[in-house]
Amino acid sequence: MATTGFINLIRSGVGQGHRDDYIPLIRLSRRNISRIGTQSTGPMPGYRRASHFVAHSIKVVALLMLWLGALDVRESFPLWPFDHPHPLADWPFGQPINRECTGMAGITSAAKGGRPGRRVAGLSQVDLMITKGTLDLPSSLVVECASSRQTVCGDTPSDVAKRSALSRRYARLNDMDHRVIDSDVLDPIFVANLLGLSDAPNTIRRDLSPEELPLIQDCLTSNLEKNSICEAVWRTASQLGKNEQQVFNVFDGMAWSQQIDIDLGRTIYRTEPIVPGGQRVKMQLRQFVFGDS
Amino acid sequence: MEHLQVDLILTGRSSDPVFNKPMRILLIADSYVWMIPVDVGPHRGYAKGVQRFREDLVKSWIGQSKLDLTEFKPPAQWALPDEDINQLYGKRAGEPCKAIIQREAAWNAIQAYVEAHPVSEAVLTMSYRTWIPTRAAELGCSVSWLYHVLHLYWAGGSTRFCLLGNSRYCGSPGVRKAQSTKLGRRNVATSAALRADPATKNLDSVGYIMSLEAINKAQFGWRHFSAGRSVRQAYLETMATFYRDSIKMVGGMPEAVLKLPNDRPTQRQFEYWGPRDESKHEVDENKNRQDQRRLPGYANQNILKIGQIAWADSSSGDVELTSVVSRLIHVSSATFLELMDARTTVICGVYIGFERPSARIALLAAAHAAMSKADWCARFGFEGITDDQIPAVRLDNIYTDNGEYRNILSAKVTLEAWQGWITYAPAGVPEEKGTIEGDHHVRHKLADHKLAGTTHGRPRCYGEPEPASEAALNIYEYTRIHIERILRHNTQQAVPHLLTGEMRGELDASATRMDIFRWLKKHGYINGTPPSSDVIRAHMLPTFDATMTARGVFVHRPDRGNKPEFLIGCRFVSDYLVQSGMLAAARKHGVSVRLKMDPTDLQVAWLPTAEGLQLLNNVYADDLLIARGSVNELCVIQDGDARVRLKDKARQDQDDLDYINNRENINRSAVEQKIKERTAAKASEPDRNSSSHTPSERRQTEIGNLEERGLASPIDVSAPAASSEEAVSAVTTPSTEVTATENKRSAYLIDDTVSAIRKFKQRTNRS
Repeated sequence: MATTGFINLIRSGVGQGHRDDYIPLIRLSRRNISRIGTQSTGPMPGYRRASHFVAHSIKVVALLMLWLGALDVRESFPLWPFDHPHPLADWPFGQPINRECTGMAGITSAAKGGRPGRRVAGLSQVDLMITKGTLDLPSSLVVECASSRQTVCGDTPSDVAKRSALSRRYARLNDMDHRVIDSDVLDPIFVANLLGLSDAPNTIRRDLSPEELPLIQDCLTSNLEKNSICEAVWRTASQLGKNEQQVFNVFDGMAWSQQIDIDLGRTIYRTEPIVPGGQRVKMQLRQFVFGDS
Repeated sequence: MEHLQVDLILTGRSSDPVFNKPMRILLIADSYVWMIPVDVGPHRGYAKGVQRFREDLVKSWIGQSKLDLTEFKPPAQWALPDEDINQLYGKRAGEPCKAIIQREAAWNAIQAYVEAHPVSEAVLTMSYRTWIPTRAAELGCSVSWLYHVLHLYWAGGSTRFCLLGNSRYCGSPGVRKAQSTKLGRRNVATSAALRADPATKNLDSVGYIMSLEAINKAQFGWRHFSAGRSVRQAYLETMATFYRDSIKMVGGMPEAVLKLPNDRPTQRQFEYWGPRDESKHEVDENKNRQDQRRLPGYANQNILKIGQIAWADSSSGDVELTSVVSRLIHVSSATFLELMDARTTVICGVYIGFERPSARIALLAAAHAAMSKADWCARFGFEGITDDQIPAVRLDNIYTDNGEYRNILSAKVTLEAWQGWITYAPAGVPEEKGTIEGDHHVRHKLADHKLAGTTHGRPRCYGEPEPASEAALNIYEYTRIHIERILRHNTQQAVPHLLTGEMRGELDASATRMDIFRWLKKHGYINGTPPSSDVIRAHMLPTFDATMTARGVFVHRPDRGNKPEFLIGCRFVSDYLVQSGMLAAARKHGVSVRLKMDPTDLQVAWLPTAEGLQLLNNVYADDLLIARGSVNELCVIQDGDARVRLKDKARQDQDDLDYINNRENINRSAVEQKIKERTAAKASEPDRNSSSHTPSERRQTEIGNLEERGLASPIDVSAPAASSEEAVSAVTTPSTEVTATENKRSAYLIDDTVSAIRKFKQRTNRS
C-alpha cells in the first residue's frame, strides 16, 4: 500500500477510538461478500456501535471475551507496518499507555478467500484487540481466532498460521499478551447460551430505567432461591407490578453477567430452578485467558 | 507419557525415523524391550517378527524426541460384529465373507498355542519356534504363513479380531479399472461372425476399447463440446478433434476425415464415459462443495428464544399479475420477501409487491414483522386478525443471504431502529437457512404454481401458453391468497417436530406454530417487545418526496428523480395539517415535504413534523384504486394514461379548435346582428334597454321571449314555465365562481379539503 493509502486510513479513523468510537479496519459492505465465513454486523452487549465480524467464530470469541469481563473488544484491529502509538494511547477512562509500538509488515494474502478485505499489501490485522484489566490500569490482549485444523496444516505453515505468528511477534515485541482461540473447543450449548443471552444487556438498557433495575434484580434474586425460573419471574412481576417480559429480560441480563450463578454449559430450562456453576467457570476461564491471578 | 509400558506404541518422528513402522511393546524385562512392528493398513505384507532392544537405548530415543509413545487405535472394522462385516463386504447373504473365513482359519491355526502360552512367556522362551513346524505339518500349511499369523496376532494386541483378512481391499475398490475388452453389447460385425460360426464361444467383441486416454478424451469432449449442442454434435466434434484420420480441404476450408468406426469410440461409449468425469468436480468447485458439505443438526438447533434469529429471503412470486383496474393490463410478477422466526418457524413479516428486491423492501418486510398486522389484514378483507395469528416480533438478528439486506442502509437502519444484528450466510450456501428456502418451495407448491398466469419458476416450455397472457389475478387477490396461506401456516398446521419435552405437559402433537409461540412467550423464551410503531415507521418506511399545497400533500412519482411530477391517486390530508396552519401556509407556493409511506398501502402516509409523525389519509376519490393499488401500479396506470392521451392528442386538438371556431362564429354573428339591430333601432325608436327598465324586468322579458321560442330549459324544451328559475340559477352559478376573488378561492379550497377529510372519515373508520 502506498503512503497515501495509510494516511487515508488513519485519517478516516480506522483502528482508533475505544468502545463505541472505535472504527474497525474491515466493515461489511456489498463488496466484501464471503463464500466461507458467516459474516455479521450489529451491536455487541453494552455497545451502541455496530461491530463487524467476518466470521461467526470471531463473533463467538468476542462475546466470550465480553462475558469474561473484557473492558473493550476491538475487532479487525490493524497492525500498522510502521512505529505507532500504543493501542491504549488514547484510553479515555483511565491511565493511557504512552509508549511507541513497533510496526509489523503485513502479509499479503492471509486466509486467502476466507477473509475478505485482508488482501491489503503491507497491512495486516488481528481478529480481536482486547482491553483487559481495570479502567485505571488497562492492558492489551491480542486474540487470533483460528481452528486447530487451519493452524496445523502439514509441514508448510498455512496462511492462518503465518498470521498467528505475525500477531504473536507483534504482541511479544510490544509487550502484550497473545492468545489463539479456537471457538470449536467451546461447548455448543455454552455458545448457544452466550449468543442467546447476549442481547439482554442492550434490551434492558433500552426498556428499563436505571432506577427500577436494581429493584427487579433484588426481588428476582430472592425469588429464584426457591422457585423455578418461570415462577420466580411471574412472582417478581406480580410483586412489583411489572411486565413479565421485562422481568424475563432482567433474568437474561443477570444470567449474562453472572449476577446470578447459573451454569451456561447446560441448557437453561425456564420451568426448572437454576443450576449454579457459571461463576466458577467464568473465573477459571478468566484466569486462563486473561492471566488474572 | 514417558514410562515404557506393555502394549504402548512407539512411533518414529518423520525427520529421522528409528523405525519404519510403529512398534508395539510386547514385553519389558531384564533391561530389554521386546517389540513387534504393527501394520494394519490395506497393503500390509508379511508380518515381521519380534525384535529386542536395550531399554536404556529406547528411553534415550524417547528422550531425544526420536520416538513418540502413543496408544494403539485399532481399525473400526475389528470392533464390528460378523453380521455387520458380512453386510459390508459379503457377497451372499447367509455366507461368511472371505475376510471372516480368513480370520477364522488363522485363529483355528494358532488358538491352541496362544491360549496356552501368554505373549511374555512365548517371546522369552521362543517356544513357538518349535511349535510352528509341527503345527504346519498337522495343518498342511506353510510355516511362513503360521509365523505371519502369529506375528499378526501379537502386533494387533493379542485379539482374534486383528486376524481379519484384508480381502475387502482386493480389486482396489474406488479405483477405476483399466479396460482390456470392449464392454457392452456385441457390435454387428461380432454378431455376424458368431452367426456364421456358432461354434465360436469366446470371441471378443470387435470395437474400440476405452483406455484411460480414450476415457479422458471422451470426458474432455463432453465437457467442452456439449454446451449448447446436441450429444450427437458433441460426439462428432470430439471425434473430429481426437480421432481423425486426415484432413481434406473443402472450399478452401479444412475438414476432418474420421477414422474407421472400430478405431474410435462409439456414440454410446461417449455418452457413457463423458459424464463420468471426476475432474468435473474439481472444475465445478461450488457443485463439489454442495455435494460434500455437511449439514449437521437441525435448523433451529441451539436457538433459545423467539426473535433471537429470523430467516429472511426473497423470491419471485412466480405468478404474472394484472392491474387492479383491468385484468387486461398485465403488470408483472410480484416480489415475495418473507421473514420467519427461526425458533418457531412462524411467519411474522412479508413484503408482497412489485418492487424488485432492494434495501427498501428489506426494511419494509422487517418493519412489517415488528408491527401489528391488523390494519394490513383488514385492508385485504381479513377482519379481526391479531398478534395471535400473525405476531409482531422484534427480530434481534436477521439471518439472510447477501441480497437485499447486504447494504449499508439495512445495517444502519436495523441498528438504529432496534439495535439488531444482520448475519449474512456464506455466498452460495442456501442450506444455511434451509427452512426459509424450503418455504419458498412450499409456497410455490401450495399457491403460486396453482394460480392462473404462473410461470412455474422456469422459462415457458414449447407449447405452453405465455404466462403473461394467462394472467388473471391482481396484487390484491394475490396478497389475499398469501395471507390465507400464512394464517394456515401459523395457526392450523400441526408441528409436532417443534415440540420439546418442556412443552409436552401443556401441548400435544396437534400444537400449531402459534401454540408453541404462545407457550414460549409465556415462559420467557422471547427476546423482548418490539419497538413502538412510530419508531419503526420513522426509521424503516421508505421516504417519498411530496409537495404540500392548499389542497393537501401530493406525492411525487418516485421514478422521476428530482422532477416533481405528482402521482395520481395520492392526495393526503389530515386535521393536523388544517389546524396547524400548514395548508394555509402552502396556499401561494407549494412546500416541498417528505412523507413516510408504505408503497403497497396507498391509504395512509406519515409526515415527520416537530411534534412527531403525523398520520395523513388519502382522500383521493377513487376508493378502489387506493384500497387495492400500490405506488408501482399507480405509476403504470399514469404512464398508460399518458400514452393514451398522447395518441388522442390530435383528436382533442381538433375538437378544441372546432369548439373555438364555433364559439367565435356564434359570437361574431351575435355581434354583427347587434350592430344591425342597433343601427335599425337608432333609425326607428329609442333603446329597449334604456334605464326605464330594471335588470329584473329585462330578465323577465327575456325569459318570456325564450319561452315563446321553446328555449327556456336547456334539458327539456317541453318543461313547464315553473322550472325556468332553476334554469336561470344554473346558468348564473358559474358566473359566481368566475367572479370570486383569489382569497375566497383559497378559502374554498381549504373548505374543500376539510369536506374531503370529512367524507373520507365517513367512508372509513380508519385513523
